[in-house]
Amino acid sequence: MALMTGSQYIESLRKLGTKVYLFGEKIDNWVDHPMIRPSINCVAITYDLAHDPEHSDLMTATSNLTGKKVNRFAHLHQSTEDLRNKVKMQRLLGQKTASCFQRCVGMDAFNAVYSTTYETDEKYGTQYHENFKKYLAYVQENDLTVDGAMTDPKGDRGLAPNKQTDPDLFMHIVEKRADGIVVRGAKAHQTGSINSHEHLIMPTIAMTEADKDYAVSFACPSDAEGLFMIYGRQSCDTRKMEDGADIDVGNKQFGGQEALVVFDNVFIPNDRIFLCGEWDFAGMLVERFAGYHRQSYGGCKVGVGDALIGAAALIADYNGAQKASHVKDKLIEMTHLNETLYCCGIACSAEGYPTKAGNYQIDLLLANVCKQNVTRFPYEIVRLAEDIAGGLVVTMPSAQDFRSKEKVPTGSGLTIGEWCNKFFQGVASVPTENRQRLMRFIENLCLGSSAVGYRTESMHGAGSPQAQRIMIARQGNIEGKKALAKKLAGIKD
Amino acid sequence: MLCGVKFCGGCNPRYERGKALAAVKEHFGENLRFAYAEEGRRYDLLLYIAGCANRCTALGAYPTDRGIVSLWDEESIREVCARMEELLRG
Repeated sequence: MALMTGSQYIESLRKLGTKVYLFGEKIDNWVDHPMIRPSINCVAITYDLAHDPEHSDLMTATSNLTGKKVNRFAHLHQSTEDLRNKVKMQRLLGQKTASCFQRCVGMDAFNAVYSTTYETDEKYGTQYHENFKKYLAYVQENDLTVDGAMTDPKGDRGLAPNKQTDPDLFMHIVEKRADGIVVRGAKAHQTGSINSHEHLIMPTIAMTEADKDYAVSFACPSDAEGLFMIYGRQSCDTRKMEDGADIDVGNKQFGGQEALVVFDNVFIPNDRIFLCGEWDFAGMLVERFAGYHRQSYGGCKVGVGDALIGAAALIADYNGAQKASHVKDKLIEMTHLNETLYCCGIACSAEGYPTKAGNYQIDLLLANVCKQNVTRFPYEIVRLAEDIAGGLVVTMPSAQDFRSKEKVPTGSGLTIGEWCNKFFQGVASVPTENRQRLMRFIENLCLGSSAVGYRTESMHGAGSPQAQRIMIARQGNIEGKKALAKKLAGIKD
Repeated sequence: MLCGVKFCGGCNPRYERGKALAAVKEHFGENLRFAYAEEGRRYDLLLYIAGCANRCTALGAYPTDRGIVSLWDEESIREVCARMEELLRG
């Protein structure tokens, strides 16, 4: 099958029997649901741009498995150039959508599982790497979107998986059969899970032998028997359900998506299993996936930042404040922060290296530094955007008020719409509606539904800040730095 | 004569590359045909339109008879057209 277009991707979702619950009810036509569709549009653009001559160079790559052209989201990185191109592609998509486009988790999982299965087989003589290569060739051939799913609900954070009161709080094997395994548990915060054709499951933490039933990695279709999803709420999400939802939504076309994915005794055939009890490789898989995903944020969040910086600069124009020196300086600061994140994404890619399996891994220290910065800088960029835009971001009346023909019984005889348009005008040459649209766009990114992706996902996605600090401590080579200091200070002991 | 057109991936272009191509096409009118470059196909000339000075695209898969001309900022469009004319004259 050739690379799908966005429309073909959307039609392919309709053919799935994915079970989706929202507001306590099963949603049969979730593809056209107004709260879900913007997130589907985001994934669709990853397909459309692969056909666009202005972007295909980043959006596609040549598969090392088949020699065919594939979407880069299904590609195994073959060089540091591939790693850099991944980050560049993510920046591009962030710019195009100002949202989380969801397909990165699958790409990062492919690369982590590919190299980890190789090394697991090397130690245990298992067949996981061959299983995975066949699976990925199938994904590439059919141009599928796959949710790389790692985060378990985790229950009591102070307890290991095998010590939890409820064993389902970590994904685990409940039965081993001759033809496969049965698994039970859930994956939380799953970005783009509903929009994915398949799920690729990985363990959530490093494990001990006592947790070996929890050391499991596998793939299954999103509509597998026993699998269902409960949609995650987002700030201001029901604005998308309002009649004629447009301006007040802020970003009508695009958005992100997270869900709880529940596995209620799901059967996994042997050829889709990539880890099954080899507990000492759970940590490697987690570390590699997290490393790739921490690199990813040095691309995607930068692209979204580009859109927000643009909006802040534009609203300054609309407000007539563009010449103020402090506004110019704030735009410089926003750009400096955003490009610093990009520097980190490019740096950890440029310093990448081949794994034993042959695909390329990022520099772990630099990727963790990248993500640590991402847990902070978007918050400051948002703060500066709100500063430049002004309080109207959160106090402006609804779009219905601006359109209202209701006459107010006062002397002027103006309608509510006329009053709104009169008093919310900025620079006279700019239509009030343009100012209104831009304020809502900024609101959406700073504290509306897209803030899920730009703020809190920046904090906790790919691991919370402390997870990066642990990795920075491990990789920081403090002993080497002590030796440098001793030598320079003339200390001999 | 057929000119292959290759865009970089456009991660953060500093100008509108599509508009730049339109300007080049307008300059040549019907004197030169343009087509999006396909890997492995030979062109008389290749016009590479990059979004910034990095020009990061690998162009080894695009053979030409008369060479490659690169454009990476919109101020250089006239200069690039002149270079293309030079190459086309041989």
